[in-house]
Amino acid sequence: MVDLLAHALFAYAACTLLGVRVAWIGPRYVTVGMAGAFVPDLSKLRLVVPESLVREAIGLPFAWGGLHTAGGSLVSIAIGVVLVEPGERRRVAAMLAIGAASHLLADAMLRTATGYSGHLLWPFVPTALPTPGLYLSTEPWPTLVAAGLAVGVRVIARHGRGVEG
Amino acid sequence: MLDTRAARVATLAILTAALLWLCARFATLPPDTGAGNFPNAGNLLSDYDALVGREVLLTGTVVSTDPAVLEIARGGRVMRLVLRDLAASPAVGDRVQVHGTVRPGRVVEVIDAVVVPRSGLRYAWSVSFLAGLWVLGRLVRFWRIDPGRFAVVARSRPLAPASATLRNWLRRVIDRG
Repeated sequence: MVDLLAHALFAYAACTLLGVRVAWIGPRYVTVGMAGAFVPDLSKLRLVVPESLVREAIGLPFAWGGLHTAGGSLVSIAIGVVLVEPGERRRVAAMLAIGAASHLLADAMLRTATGYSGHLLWPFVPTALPTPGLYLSTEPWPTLVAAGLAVGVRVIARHGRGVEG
Repeated sequence: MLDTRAARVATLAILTAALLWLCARFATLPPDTGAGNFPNAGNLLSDYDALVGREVLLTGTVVSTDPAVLEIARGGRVMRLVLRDLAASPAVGDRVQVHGTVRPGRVVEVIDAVVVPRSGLRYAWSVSFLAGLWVLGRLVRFWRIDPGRFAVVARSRPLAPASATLRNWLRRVIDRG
């Protein structure tokens, strides 16, 4: 993964930019988009709950990596949507999906030893995808780029609101 | 639809089961190097001899150098492998992702490798922790949990941002002092 700060900043930029066009996307829903950017990294639960423990508990093979895919993200988002009050579900679903998609897109460009980025679109696309290998997961420059984008978009959004009056 | 607590609890149970099922299916994806899905550490730890001559993708920690020795671990099992033809020069403690060919005698011939130094890991975890705090703070500012309704609801009035709260607190401290 790219570090979570980069993911949160990319999601913030994407959602804030959308908010220039879509009136209901204000800070409340931008925040949901940022939370959505964390969804695929629920796979990091493997650091707290070993896969072997879950395998023993459910009696089936198990890999937390299933959460770091499009399918796993969609079901995780559905869980989040069910937890939200009825009147907010469509908007929350949309923003969580945008955030999660921005995370998978950023991870699709990570440099790996195989030249493939992993099964990010599984189960919709059953194979791993080739990656352009733009950066390592621990390099800081994607975060700097994301921060620059976030600042720029915030200026654009504020200017847009100022022009409208 | 899904307005009652019972309906939501039932739906959550079904979705959680679906998530577990997806993760179970993911765990059994057959290695298919043509599709970019290589056998991993778990496969190697289960049956090393079956993978001799095949390409694998491993992630582990360097435990010694010259030659580089990678330690992989999965489900309580541990194995140390000598990395042959490694172009990089990792230090002990670095994490390395290795794409290579398994050879007899606990040796992996490296095709390509990505080295993540310990400092890089510390950086990533530190900023990720800060990101978590930032997003959590924003979530608390705009949303709250309503236990009676068993739901997350939008606050009718967002809480003041942390920066404003900190500014007010500092002003109070300065006025008092």
